[in-house]
Amino acid sequence: MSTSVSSEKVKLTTKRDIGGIVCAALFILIGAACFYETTQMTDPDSYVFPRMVISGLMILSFILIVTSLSKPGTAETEEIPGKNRPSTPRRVLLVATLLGVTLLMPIIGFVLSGLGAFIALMLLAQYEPWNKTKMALYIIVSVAIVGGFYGAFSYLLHVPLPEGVLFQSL
Amino acid sequence: MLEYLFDALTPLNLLLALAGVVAGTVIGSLPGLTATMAVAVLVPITFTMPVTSALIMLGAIYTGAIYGGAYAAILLNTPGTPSAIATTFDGYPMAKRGDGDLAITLACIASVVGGLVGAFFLLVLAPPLAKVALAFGPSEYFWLALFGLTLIAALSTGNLIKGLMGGCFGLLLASVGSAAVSGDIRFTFGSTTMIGGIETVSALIGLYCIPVLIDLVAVSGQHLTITGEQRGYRLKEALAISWKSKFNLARSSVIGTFVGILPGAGGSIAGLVAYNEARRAARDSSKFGHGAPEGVQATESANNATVGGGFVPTLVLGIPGTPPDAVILGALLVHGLRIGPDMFNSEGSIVYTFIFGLIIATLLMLPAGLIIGRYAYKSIITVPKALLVPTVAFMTLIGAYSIRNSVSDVFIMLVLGGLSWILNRFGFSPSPIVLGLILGSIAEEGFVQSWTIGAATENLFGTFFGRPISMTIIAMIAMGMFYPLISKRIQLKRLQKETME
Repeated sequence: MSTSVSSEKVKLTTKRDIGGIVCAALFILIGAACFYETTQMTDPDSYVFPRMVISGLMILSFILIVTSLSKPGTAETEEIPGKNRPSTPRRVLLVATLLGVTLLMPIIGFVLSGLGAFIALMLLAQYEPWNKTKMALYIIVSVAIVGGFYGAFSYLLHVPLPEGVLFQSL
Repeated sequence: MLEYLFDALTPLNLLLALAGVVAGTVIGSLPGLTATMAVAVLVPITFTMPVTSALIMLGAIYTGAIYGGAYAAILLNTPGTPSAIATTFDGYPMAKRGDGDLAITLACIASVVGGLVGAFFLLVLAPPLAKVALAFGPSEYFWLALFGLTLIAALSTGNLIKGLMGGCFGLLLASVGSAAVSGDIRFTFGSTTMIGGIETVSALIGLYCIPVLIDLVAVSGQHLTITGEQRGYRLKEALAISWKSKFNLARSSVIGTFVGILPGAGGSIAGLVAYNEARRAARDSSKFGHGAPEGVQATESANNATVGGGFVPTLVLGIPGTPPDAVILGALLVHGLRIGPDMFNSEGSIVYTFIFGLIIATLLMLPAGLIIGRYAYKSIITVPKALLVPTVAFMTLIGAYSIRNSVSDVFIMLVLGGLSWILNRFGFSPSPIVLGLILGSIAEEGFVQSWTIGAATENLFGTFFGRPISMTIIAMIAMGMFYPLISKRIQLKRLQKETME
């Protein structure tokens, strides 16, 4: 359950803050797009404050890029992940699964999309091999948790969870 | 005052306080899940409750989660929450020598003491501060919002420029959707998803919970082994040790309270500062790091004291003291409460009943915390990751949706979560973004109103810089901005002195 990564070795590297520079460049682009949108606004109450914030963001981003590029790379110790190397595909799949079920939610409804997400993430978070008993038990638990939450939110808290257009038209 | 105490003592509030403490302790005890996450995923449950009960439950979840982090810190050498980092220094060595049970009881007592001291300061400090804050005009609110942002940028991990950039990005996110003053639709780029703006609580769920899930799923569950055999509560022994180090407990609790009051500085900073002070003040500091009970007491009392301390700026000014306070603040906005100094007069019953509720929840933590530590902890940590990850993920989906019954909010929550994970990897902490998002409307309203007043009176400079309170806050902003430089220089000088010696 720990998020820490076991490391076997440590190496010394000289690094420039490339990630920071890329993020700063991205902030400048976002700022420019937003600034352009403020030029379409007519009421000063709508654009004065955002323009101030955008200017601040762009100036700070520019300072970060200049200072990062002008400074020599700093020596850093970098951990070389051992056996428990973090899995990037699982990270991407987690976000993709959640985005996918969110897009499907208005179509197939909350219960089905929620159950689909639960089972997909269950498979994604399982590193050890499955056996039939474990699989059956976990699926029962999944149905119970999704059903429990659906019941609690729909009937106790009266939240109108999406039913799905697919089922409404049937 | 007594009537508020009785209001807090209703069976519903007592039940919610107990349920909140238990839920918070359980979530906080799981390594990888933070106190902020505990509050964020459970916040939707409170939306249909009366506002006082909701606040009591959220406060109880928060206080329980901070304490829950101590279990894993002591028994697994892995802080359950970041605020328990310093608990590992002496808690784990205690567990290794067979005193894990004693360390847990000491942590529980220290957490209760810290929580009570924090709540006491909240009760004593917040009302007079609210009276001072009543004198604030629009320009003061604008400068105050900027002060909160600079302070969090200075205190958060990473460098000051990145913190400030995060704050600006948060302010920009807050301006998406309908403009606070004019009502114009801004920065939606033609998308209907963003037309309703960015809902604060669902954004907070994304910014704080999704990165945790992304990291949780990326590595296989490590084999967690509890160190040391537990023999019992050892309550008498723990009480005797606590009495002996009453000054340590008091000092650490006061440190925790005041660190909590600083916007953005949460339990982890409080714990580390209090630990260092306890070691500095100890007669024999060599024991620290090798299982000194004082180390566990200092950290645990300080991190729980941040709960009450953090509520001071949250309730008085609407500026969250700690990240979980940001989530609670967002929840209060969903309840339709306008947070600020006026609340102490107009909604006094809610505020004072909540403070008494927080005190009750802290007291309930003693039996609940001891029982969970003794009997339930082993079962909690053996929850398989294959069930933990989808459960938490499912709670984020249903939580983000249920605030405005909007799928768009879920979508925005996920996108912000992914973005937060990426930015965090490159040194952009989520806290400044969150603070910008929360303070956005306060800052914009203050700025636009001051601008309008200044333009009408033809004294723009005087409106922003002419009032004594404004000037004091501006001076504090300057101090906040230069703090990292000053502290770096002091550290460098200290290092040079040590090398010379």
